[in-house]
Amino acid sequence: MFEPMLVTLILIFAIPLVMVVLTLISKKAYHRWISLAGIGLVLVGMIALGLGGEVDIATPWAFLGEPITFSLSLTSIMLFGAALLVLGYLIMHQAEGDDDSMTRYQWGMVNLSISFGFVAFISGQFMLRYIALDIVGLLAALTVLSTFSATSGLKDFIVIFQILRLGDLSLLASILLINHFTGTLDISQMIIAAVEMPPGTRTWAYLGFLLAVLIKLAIFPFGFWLKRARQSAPRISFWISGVLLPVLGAYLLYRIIPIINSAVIFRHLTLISAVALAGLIILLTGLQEVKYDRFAHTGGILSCFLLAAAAFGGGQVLLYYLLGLILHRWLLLIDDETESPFLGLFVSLYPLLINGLFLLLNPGVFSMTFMVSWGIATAIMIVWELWMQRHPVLPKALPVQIANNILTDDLYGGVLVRAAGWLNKTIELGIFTHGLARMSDFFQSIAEWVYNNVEMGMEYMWIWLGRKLIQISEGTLRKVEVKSGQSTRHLMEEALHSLEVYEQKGSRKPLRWDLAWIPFLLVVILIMLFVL
Amino acid sequence: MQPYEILLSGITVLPVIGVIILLIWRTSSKKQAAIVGIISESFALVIPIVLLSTLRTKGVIFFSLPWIPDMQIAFSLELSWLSITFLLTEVLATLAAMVYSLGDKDGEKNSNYYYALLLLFSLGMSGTTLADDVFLFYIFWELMLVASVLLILGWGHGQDRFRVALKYFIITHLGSLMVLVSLITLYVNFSTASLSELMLQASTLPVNMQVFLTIFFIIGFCVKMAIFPVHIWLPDAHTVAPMPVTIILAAAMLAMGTFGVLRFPFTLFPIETIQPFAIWLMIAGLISEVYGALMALAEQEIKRIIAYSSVSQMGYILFGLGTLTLRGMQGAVMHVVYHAIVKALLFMVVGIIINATGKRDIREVGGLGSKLPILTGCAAIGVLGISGMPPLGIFNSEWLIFSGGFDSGVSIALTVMTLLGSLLTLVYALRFFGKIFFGEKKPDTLPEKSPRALLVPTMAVTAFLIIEGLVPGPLLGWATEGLAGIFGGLL
Repeated sequence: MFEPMLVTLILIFAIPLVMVVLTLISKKAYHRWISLAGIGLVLVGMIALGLGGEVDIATPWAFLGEPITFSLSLTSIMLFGAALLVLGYLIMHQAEGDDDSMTRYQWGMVNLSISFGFVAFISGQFMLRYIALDIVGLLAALTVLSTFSATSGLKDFIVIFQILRLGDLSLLASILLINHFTGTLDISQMIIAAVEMPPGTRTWAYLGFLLAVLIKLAIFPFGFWLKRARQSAPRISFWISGVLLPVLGAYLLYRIIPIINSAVIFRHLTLISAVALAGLIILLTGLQEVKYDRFAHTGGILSCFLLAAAAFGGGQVLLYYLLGLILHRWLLLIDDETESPFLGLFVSLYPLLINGLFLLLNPGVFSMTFMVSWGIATAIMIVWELWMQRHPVLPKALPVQIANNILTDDLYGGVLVRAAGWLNKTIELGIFTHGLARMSDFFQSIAEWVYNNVEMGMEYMWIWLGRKLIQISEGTLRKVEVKSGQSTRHLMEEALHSLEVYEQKGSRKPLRWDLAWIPFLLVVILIMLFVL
Repeated sequence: MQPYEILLSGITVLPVIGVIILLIWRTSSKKQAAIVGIISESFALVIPIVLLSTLRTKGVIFFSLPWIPDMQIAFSLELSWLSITFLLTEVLATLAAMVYSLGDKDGEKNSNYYYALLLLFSLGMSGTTLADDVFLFYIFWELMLVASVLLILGWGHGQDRFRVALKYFIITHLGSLMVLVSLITLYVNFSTASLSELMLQASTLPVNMQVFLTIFFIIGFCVKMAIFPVHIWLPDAHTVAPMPVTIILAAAMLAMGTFGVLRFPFTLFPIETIQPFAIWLMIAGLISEVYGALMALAEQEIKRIIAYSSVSQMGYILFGLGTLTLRGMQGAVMHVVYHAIVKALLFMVVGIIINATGKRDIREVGGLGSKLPILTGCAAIGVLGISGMPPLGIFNSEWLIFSGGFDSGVSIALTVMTLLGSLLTLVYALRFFGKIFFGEKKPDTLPEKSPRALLVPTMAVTAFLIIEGLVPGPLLGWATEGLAGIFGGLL
């Protein structure tokens, strides 16, 4: 039997998926209402979960041998709930023009992002959370793709997807590194144990998390993806990039505060990053070196304040600061539509309100130096914001390739493509392909030389040797076989001739019978020797 | 002899019957020849599945017949969890390629020989995974090479195929010779060709000899895996070969190198012998990963882009093997399977594109997304799959490989570089996808639909890729069981 909490979780995950199917099969007029109904049901489910308190929920499932668990916390429920309220507002106040841009495909992306965003907030296991984050990133990128024929959407998609993936990969590196030391993927246990890791390893994990947070929060110089999403995605789908992903980034930062505070160097590095990046945004937009985008840049600077707060432990009311950031993005979106001067001014002064409240609600937590610096930085931000509002930057012309709808390799990272091209030309073609051909020619010429000089030389040598051998053989034959044969024959003939001469002479002499006594006497002597 | 032993021998015998039928039936049409090939190959798929329950109880299944008794050489086969993982990958890839070939233009001429050679190619790989005798292993290993070379020579594209086939043969054969030297050395030292017996005795060899054999085995098998810089046979061979052969080469044959590394040096020798090579294997893996990805990014020929992607993906596998950790090797084995599925899918997509447009240069193709929506969907899944997007399979294997990298304790920086290097995969995959399916329609004349005979197997492989990613449990279990024999179960 499943626990009621688990059933609720599954239902919350499944409702937006059902909405995707309903969107696919229903008429266009019903799409917004279907999505609104889904959001309403999810919010009701979230409230039900919130009433159950902060609990860890085990499930009977595992993925790659790792048990799947969920961890419900007030922070995650409130943040996701607030983000959903923003989405609900955007859909409720949908203008006619937006209705045209929201195709079935776009509604599908939004509803899917609710399902996976929910998992990313409440998963107690880091692998599942990573998977959900990666999918939300993909959905955010997909919202800018509207047609196969326009290349501008593709360019935005590629840029957004690649940079978000870089953030996800750096997050993955940190997760795996901590997992190696802790042997668990339970987020709470991992964060606690990560503090005990050796300093070198902890630095790697910290840097991975920091990069992931900077990208997800869209802080300059990583915020360009948000600007592209804002230009290309329909107003409602932009919620994924403009609200859901930054909130997920902020929540990630909230979870890793113990790691940031585990070493002085991490705190300093986080603080320096926050100050330096916020300063850069202000400087470069002020000098008009970077095109000012209110949503991306003011959101980015407030995220820098969040980073700075995290570097000092976050304080007791960081959750409310996070909710304040969601409200800020909501206000920015409303301000875009209403163009009310009062609201515009309120949005410009909003950092004063949120940052001031943050200090007031954290009495005695931060040092005087921190509070003074915080105040000065807030003032600078407001002055900059008001200045930028009065000096709007004219939009620049689109690059020729994009304007003419031409796909070039620069789309995929010009430097990278050029580097790859050089490598391809020099190593792959130069060495491995043409180089091999040249090597083959070289071997061919060596072979020809060897053939002409060695092989043919050997041939000549063998011929010479053969001739010599034949000559030697002939000589030997002549000397040993022929001459000796002749000599033998000559000797034989001489011997026969002497015998003949001897016989002729012998036949002329009378026989000497007196000599016949000699053998007789020898026999007698032998007998006597035996007898005696 | 037990029935399951006889069944095991059927994996090698039944395709041979198919080959004989095809050689005799010279008048067969392409469709008829393909059906004979598919039926024969199906036996090689069904038998291991039937044997799964026996494998669960027995752990390993043997079949042995005396062959050259005086030399202690036998026709011995062994089905283990490691071999069945590679065997099923190879057989499934071959079957998918054969089904795909029904709609493909290649192999119209001398179809009976074409499918007979495809069966022999597959038989070579099946035998390689099953052989429990070093001589038998080498015979199957070379059969795989000879059959694929003949397929390239006979049915390859362009005049260049003779040069390419020769290059492919010479380079991979050099690797095979290194393997052969090692096998003969083992045989001479222990007077047995049985791998099961060698497993028990090989660790008694002098350490220097073990190191020497390890180097020879690893280089020899890396040639088959197409690891940089011995990858040079792969892009040409993949490009020139007919599409079904390309699918088998990429999806199945590259896996044989990984199997060789696991079956020989990693099984025969103790971990202490392999340990000094760990960092070099990881570095070689990283270089191959990055280099292959960069080449895929620079390449303009559609088939070669996917071919270079194989060099990159094999880099991940070698990195996983080099970690010498359980998770790293689990990841490597799973990556072999996932890579086979993704690569089969991507080459099928490329085949349909070439079939539809007649173009092979990516600059001459564009805007297919609106014309061929189903194909675009399949390609999108393939591209996301190879980029390691969860929940598609490669994410699972990469997770384990990178975990293994950290577990190895060799170098955090090396693992982080490999992990971040995977971003390059996304870059070339998006370039491939964007240029073909987005932008201006090129060429002007495009068919309204993709041929169904090509699209159906492509969709089936896409579905399989999604399922394999969502349900990784069985594969992980097989990989874990299969690796139990590695380093004497010390992992």
